[in-house]
Amino acid sequence: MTGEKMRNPIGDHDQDRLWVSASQKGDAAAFNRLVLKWEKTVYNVALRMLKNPEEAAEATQEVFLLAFRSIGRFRKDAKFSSWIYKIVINYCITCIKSRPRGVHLPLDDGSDTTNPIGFLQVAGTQNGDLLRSETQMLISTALARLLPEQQAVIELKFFQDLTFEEIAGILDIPLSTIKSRLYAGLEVLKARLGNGYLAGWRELS
Amino acid sequence: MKPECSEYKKVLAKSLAEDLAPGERQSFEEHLAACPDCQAERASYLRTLELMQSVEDKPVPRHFFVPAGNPRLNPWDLFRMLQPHWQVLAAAAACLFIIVSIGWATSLRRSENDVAALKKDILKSMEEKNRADRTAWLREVRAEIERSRTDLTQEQQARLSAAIARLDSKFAGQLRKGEALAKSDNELMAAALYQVVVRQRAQDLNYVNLRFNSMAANSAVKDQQVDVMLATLLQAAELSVK
Repeated sequence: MTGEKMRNPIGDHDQDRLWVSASQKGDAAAFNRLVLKWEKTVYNVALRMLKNPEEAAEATQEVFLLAFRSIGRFRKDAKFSSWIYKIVINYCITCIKSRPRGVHLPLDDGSDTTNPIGFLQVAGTQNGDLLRSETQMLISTALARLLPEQQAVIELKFFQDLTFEEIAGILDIPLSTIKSRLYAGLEVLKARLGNGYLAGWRELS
Repeated sequence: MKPECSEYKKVLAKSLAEDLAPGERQSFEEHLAACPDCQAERASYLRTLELMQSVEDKPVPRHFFVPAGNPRLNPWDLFRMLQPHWQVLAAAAACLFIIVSIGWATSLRRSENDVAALKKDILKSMEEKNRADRTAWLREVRAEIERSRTDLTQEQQARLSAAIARLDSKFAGQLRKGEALAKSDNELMAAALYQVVVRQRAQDLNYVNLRFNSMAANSAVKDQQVDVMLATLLQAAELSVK
């Protein structure tokens, strides 16, 4: 992987463990410390999976409530991060699948939105913020082309920088399945993001 | 694009995820160095990854909290945590459980109801039969008395009526007892007693009939004879209610 960067909070698993065992005795304050530490990660996973800020916020709240209610069944030798990833990913996949059919695909008429000649001349004019938001939108549109299961693997591998083994543990599926989902997903993303126009414009700006 | 490129396209994605076996890596790098198409493909993948790396996490719109207290996970929350295909299985299992439970409860209830209804029916029919037998017998005795009344003196008629009334009330009492017994748990005993009473009553009736017939045949009935007849009748009644 190029340009390794840790998006998840610094892996202070001992601290997590202390808060978890306090939470297991019913200490909501301890659990809220875990929430404060992990809310940004959980919210952004949900945001990229669901593509909707309100839904993502609602999902984040639900995920932490579910986690708190079932904290008694959390095994001491497990990582809290893996556990919370598992809950948020499963929650989002269920959310996407329970949407009316077709809604999880973006409203896309098939026109090539990765060719930004038209709008980037406006958006890219010496305005990094606007360009960044356009980039985000394009990535979001590209991610929406993936199946929920592919999205889950891409999220954990590329955005959370987890290993294949960790992902297999979280999603509870074989390594070979994870890899095939990852490569299939990557090909879809490349078709929409890899043509270079945007990167070129980024350099210009 | 060279024919082997389609093969290397798969390897390309694997190389980006650092998932290549050492032998695979060497032949891939050799091919890549000599193939502009695959180089372009690789550049395209790298741009995609670069773009994705540029995505920054957004700040949370608000902080999230869980309320204090010790909430328990309810079955519905558990169900929502399941993967969709497990949800389907769980829902099917729950439905099956409910159907089986309802079926079981209904069958149990029905058999209990059946036994109770059967008991009630038996008691009722026994009661009805008792009543019908009794009224039929009394009707026959009364009819017999009416027929032979003309042959008796006033005094004899009165004594006969009184005797019959006593007999009637005694039998009625006996039958009530019989009914009460039949209603009790000891149904077999009640039924046996009922059989004895019925047999005795049939004999009594036969005897009374014979007597009345002989009385009718003899137009000049003696008081003594009537007395004897009445004594016998009373005796029979006494006997039957023992």
